[in-house]
Amino acid sequence: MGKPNDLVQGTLDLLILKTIAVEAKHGWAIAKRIQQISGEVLQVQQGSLYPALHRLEQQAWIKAHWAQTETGREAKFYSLTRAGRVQMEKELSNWQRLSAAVNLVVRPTEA
Amino acid sequence: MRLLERFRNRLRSLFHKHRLERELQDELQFHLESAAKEKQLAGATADQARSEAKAEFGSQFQITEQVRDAWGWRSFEALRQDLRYTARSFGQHPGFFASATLILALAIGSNTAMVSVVRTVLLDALPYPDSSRLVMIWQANPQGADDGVGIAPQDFTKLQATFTSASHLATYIGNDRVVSGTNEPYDASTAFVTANFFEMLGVRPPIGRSFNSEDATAAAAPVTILSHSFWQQALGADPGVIGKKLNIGGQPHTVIGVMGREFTFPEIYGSGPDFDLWTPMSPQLISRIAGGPGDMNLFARLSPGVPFETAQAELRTIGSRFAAERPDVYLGRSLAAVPLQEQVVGNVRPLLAILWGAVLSILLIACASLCNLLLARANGRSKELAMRASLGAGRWRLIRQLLTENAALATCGGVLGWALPWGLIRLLPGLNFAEIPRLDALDLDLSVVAVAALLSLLAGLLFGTVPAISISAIGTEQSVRRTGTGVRRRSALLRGGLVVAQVSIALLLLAGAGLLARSYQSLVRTGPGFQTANRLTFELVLPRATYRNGQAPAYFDRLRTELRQLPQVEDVGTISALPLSGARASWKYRIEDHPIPPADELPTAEFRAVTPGFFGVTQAPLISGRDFDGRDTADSQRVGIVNETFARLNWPGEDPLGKRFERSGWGWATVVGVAPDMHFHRVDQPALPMFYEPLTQGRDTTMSVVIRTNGNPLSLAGASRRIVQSTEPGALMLNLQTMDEMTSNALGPRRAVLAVFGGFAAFALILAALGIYSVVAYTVSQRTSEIGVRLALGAQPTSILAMVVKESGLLTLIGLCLGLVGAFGGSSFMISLLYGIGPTDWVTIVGACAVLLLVSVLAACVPARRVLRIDPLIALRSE
Repeated sequence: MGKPNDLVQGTLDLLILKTIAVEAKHGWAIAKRIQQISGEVLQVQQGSLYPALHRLEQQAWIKAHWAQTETGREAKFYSLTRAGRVQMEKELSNWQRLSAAVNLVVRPTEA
Repeated sequence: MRLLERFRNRLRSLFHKHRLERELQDELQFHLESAAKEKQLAGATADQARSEAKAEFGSQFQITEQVRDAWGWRSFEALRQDLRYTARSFGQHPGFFASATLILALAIGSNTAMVSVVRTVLLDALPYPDSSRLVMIWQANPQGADDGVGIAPQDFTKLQATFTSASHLATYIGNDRVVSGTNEPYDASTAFVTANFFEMLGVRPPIGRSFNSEDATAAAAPVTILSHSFWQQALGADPGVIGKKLNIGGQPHTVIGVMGREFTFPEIYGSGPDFDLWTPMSPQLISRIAGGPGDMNLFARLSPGVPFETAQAELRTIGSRFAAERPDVYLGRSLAAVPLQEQVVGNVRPLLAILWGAVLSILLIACASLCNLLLARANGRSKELAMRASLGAGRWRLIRQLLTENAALATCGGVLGWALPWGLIRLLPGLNFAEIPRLDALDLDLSVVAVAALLSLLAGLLFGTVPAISISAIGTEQSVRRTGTGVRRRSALLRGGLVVAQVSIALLLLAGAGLLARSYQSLVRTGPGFQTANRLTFELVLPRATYRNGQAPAYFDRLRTELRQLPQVEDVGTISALPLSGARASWKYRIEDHPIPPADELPTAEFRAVTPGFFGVTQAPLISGRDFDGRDTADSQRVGIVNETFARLNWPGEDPLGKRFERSGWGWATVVGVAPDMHFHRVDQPALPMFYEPLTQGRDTTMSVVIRTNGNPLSLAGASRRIVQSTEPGALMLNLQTMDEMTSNALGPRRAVLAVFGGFAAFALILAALGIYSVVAYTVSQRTSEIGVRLALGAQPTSILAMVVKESGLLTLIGLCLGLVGAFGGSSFMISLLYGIGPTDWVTIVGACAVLLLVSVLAACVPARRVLRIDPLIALRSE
């Protein structure tokens, strides 16, 4: 099982940005969502998630607001800023370039 | 945009620290709750779920710490720490802190004040719309506009008709009249202005209306426009003033307007005429005063789209035509325009440049001093720094700590340095810098604050970086106990260099101040060449029609008799134009029996018509010969009195009495007296060659009256005015003032510049002495053991004293040599401010060097005397 620490540096940022790109989510939901989508492969540790969220907020790539969850409890929701969207596109293309390159190296040669 | 947002986030996390912490805990708590809820749904009991979730979550404390890192508090924390150390370290050395702050404040403050002066005086546009199109018009000699010589009134009228480049041509004549109809009769400073004057400037009275062309016709009802201050002071800011009648100079005038508070009349010679009210100038008035060879301050607004050069070329053409029509007035001159801005500030530029050079020197020398002070502190702090280095502080961390201290110093100095010009700027207009125009518009605004901030930053970098790096090198290189000698030597060299720099800059300022002081001294010694105390003057314009044919001398004779009967009046004299009044009257002349040059190359000299007694009134007794008297009538032989310069120029080594000269077109006159030189144009310029003729043998009808009194001359103003009114109701009385008033303006600016420069020089001298003192004190403290050895081996304490003093003397000498080079290079910039001495005046320079040398030896001797108290035994044991 992959731990976030095994993730390539900066990948967590991309995962977070991508996860809240459609709608604002709180920290728990972000962690859950990443876990779900990745088919339980990627488990984001809280010790990484929250520092990352706050760092992204300081960078002004995401912004936070307090709102009620479906259960009626107040929680901190994160959403993407315009700068965050640009950053996400940049990191996405970086990631695609990187993973394609890694694939080229590790894929069994057909010869 | 994003940068801004990030900065805001930073600030928010700094200032809302507690709220953020609370929110973070809440957020983490929510996560825990959600995790527990999920486990509960999966079948665990509430307690089980909670403890499992907690275990999975890990250390909440650690997460909190990591998040705090993300907030970016680390650097702020470090900064706070630095500031705390700084405050503590300053608290431990209040003397150092106070002197460093004060030095910086003075340097930054004087620079800030200077920047605001330069900006206000030189850079800001004049307070009139589109003021770049405003010009003044003067007669011009081949070198260009000669701004002493105005346009003759009749030519003003002609120019109005022909000068197409200008949309407005306007002029004014100052004239003091008594105004009644106010709370009490008011001795007002008033002026006749052409009806288009305010329109030419582009300003309108905010209350009431401006003059129009009908107001200036002879048939129109007399009207007046008031200045804002007169309206407030004399009329109590009466809102219903429009339409009110004021009696001005015995004639009822209707008030039609009040100018705005911010309106200033254009200043021509620096000190602006602060007129109380204005009345329109009729063509009749212009023709009435028409007569003198040229006396009007002429303003013009260029028509839209006409370039300055075009206007200038047109003026040249018109000028040559005027000159051809009246060669006796123009004497080969033409006409030229000068932009009003240039006119107002042009001749203060070198003065401001020199003052700016002085304040910049002050900034440099202050930075050098601080550099030195900080290096001196290094000695005392090397143990502390070494301790911190050995406890793990990196070199960069140490440098940062030191830079923080310097930045704090610079900030304190900067804040004080901003407060200083706040006071200075309020002081400056009162300092009688009469020559610098527009000082009243001076104010501190944001740009000046920005300059102060920038200067403190620069100063902080300049004086802080080198010592910080060098100190931190001590900190890291040396062990806690021993000192790295390499670093020591480097620092000693640096400090020596700083002392050299301080001495050389101090010499520059000292030499500058010395040159100014000697100029002032020789000016005062020379004086204007006549006595000014207790003398009242005014100009009297007689109606030309009545007095054109030689009746004026009789009138002035009668006036003199009447005025002399007033109490306190000692004597009365008259002259066609007063010295230092700004008026010039040049005439061509030739000398009998001298080779006669072609007509257009005849020499010129200043000419004045005088009545008998003028030289007695000014107490400038004739050097030889006699004064004019009753013998010199219109029909008698023509006579003249020449001044020394004229005599020396034309009859060197001969007795001028009995010689003959001719004022162009007026026939030969015999010299009957030689008068002392008087400075007619400017006090600080050499006297011009002059000749005087009796009024009886000329045609002047406008004369300046000088009354010598034995009391307050102004108390005679009213009585004089009454006598003029009763003897000739048609006479126009202009520019009533004391003669002191006239001449003090000529010396006031010099006094002020001298005071400022002297203050700077003293400050620089103190800083240089401080530098030498600290270097010698440092040397002595460092070499205590070496000196102990020498003493133990039998050296005389006095010879060691001499050795130490000699070292600092060497530094001083190097500094003096460098300073001399600078002084020779820089003093030529001061030529315009010098009088009676050259820019390389040896007395001044040798004197400045001597003073510096003396001060430096004294500054060295005080700490050096410590070697006398060194006990060899103790000194050796301390090693």
